[in-house]
Amino acid sequence: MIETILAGFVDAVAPINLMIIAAGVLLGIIVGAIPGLNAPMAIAIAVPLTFYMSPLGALAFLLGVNKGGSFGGSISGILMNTPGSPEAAATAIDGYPLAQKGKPLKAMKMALYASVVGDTFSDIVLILVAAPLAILALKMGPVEICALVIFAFTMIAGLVGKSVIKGLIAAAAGVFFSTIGTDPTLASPRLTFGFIDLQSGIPLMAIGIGMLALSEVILQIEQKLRGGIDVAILKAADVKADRGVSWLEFRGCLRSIARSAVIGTLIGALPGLGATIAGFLGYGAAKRASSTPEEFGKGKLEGVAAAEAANSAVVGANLIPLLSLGIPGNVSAALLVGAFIIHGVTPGPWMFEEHGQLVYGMFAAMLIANVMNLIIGHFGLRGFVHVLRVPKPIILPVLVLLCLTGAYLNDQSFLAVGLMIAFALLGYVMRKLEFSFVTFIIGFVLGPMLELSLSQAYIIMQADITRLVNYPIAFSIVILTVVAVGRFAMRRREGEAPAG
Amino acid sequence: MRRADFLSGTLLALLGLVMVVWVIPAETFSGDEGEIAPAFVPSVTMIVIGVLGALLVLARLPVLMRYLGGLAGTLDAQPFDRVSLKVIFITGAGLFAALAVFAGFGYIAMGIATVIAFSLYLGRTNWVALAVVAALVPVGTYFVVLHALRVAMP
Repeated sequence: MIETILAGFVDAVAPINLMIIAAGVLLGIIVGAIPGLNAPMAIAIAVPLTFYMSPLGALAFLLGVNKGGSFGGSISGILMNTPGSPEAAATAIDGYPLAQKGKPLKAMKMALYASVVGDTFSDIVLILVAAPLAILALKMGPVEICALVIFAFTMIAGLVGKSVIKGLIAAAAGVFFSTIGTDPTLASPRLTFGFIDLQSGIPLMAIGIGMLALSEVILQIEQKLRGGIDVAILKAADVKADRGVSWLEFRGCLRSIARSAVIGTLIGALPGLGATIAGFLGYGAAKRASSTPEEFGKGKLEGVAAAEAANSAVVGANLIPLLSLGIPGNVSAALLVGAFIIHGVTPGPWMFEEHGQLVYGMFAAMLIANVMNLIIGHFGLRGFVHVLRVPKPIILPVLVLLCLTGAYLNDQSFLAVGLMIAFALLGYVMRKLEFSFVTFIIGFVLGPMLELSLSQAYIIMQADITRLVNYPIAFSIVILTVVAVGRFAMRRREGEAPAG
Repeated sequence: MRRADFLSGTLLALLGLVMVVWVIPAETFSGDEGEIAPAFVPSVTMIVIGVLGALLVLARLPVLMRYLGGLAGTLDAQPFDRVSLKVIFITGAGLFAALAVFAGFGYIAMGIATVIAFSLYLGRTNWVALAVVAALVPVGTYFVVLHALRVAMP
């Protein structure tokens, strides 16, 4: 066991992997800094590129993108009041007023430090919790797994987006598309409409790149055609004290950072809740605990620290359900499933036994990525600001080209490119109609697991649903699912704001 | 979103029905007794989509009825106006045209055409910058993919 952990850590510090992690973090910060683009989008485009890397290199690169993107989103939020990613919206509440006061570098540096602390905390929790949870998960049979997947769908459908009904429709549609290809029982073609290329199923990357990246580009094109607002980028003051964060200032925010790190980690560990809600909860908790709550929203450094620590703490924790149960808790984790599968690894509790060295190498890479994030973020901050000046009519066509390239590279087929375009248009329509594309993608990823566990449970229970009472864990999860559906329906009826 | 929900719910309910009754039986093999048939999961998901689509319609029906009866003032705006429909059709056509150029003339031709076409569509008029980006990005990507990833694109 110790040898496996050590071997994993040694793999991660190999020079090539360090370079790959640095490249991932750099790409993540740059993409995250551009308004409208975010880390999951960059991951979607980058997954096909990682096909040619080692498994650890590929995962380390994508995790670096995710971590860099988490901080990068705060740059445009602070400088332009236009968060690069939705989770940075809470950071902008105090970050932008600070920038207006001539302290954008101070705000961005505090965002960076808080982001790294929050992220490192959640990585440590992941490292400590994932393996014990996986041991528990291995004791579960198909009946329990089936019940758990249905529960995860309900939670994600209820918590993401504005309507439980629409969330469930999106999840069911995702599962439906996952059934196209070859059925697992008889190995016969299913819903392929005569296309031989479809017998291996719809590539996850066609859906990932299409719905996540290209559909966002189409939305940005629409925004641009409507005459999108050009926002001024604020400049830094000449006073040295306003360009950095002193130890005293950092220490003053430590309590809020620690509180937010815990909040973000808890939120991240639950499927469906995302970094956006974590950022606002962390910010709200800091405001409530402050002796000067009236200063929040007017450029308080603590507000930036609290929001950023909370949203970054989600990044590590959202791998807890993926590694311990095989269930992706958010869209980034769902895309990582694609990377795992490309390298012949099925994510889930058995990973610790079958690919222990890779898992611990990945954990080490996550910790290294945090250090890289700190170094690259600190020294490259002034340079990243220039990314914001690149005009949209240049960025968007280049992104379109990268999406087409990524879809083709996946399995070098034009059908995959065509499917990616079709899913991009579907994703655009879904976004306009407020159907959650996140739930759709997670439904697509979890579909095969649901079908397999369902068919096994069907045989074990001899097609008699009343036998469910013989499986207390599965029965409890089913009851929880029914209660959750009821709660979500009641909450919507009472008109409460949805989370995430 | 209520009017859009009403329409999308109706379409989804109809889609679920058509898929369960005609498409899925025609495109799947029947299974053996004692195990789940290949059509089971696709059919269940389509039944779920159809039923939830109908529920969406029912949930929005009272507001629409009140509006039609003159009791409610206005309905919310349509999510698809002329600009968004234009975006769907022009961007969609542009993307499929890019795919056709990719398949027929290769990656670099497609890349140059895509960057120029989309930049012009978005109102870019700085020809020098456009020419530089349109030439450098596709050629650069092609060679990175060829040498770093060892994939020869058409």
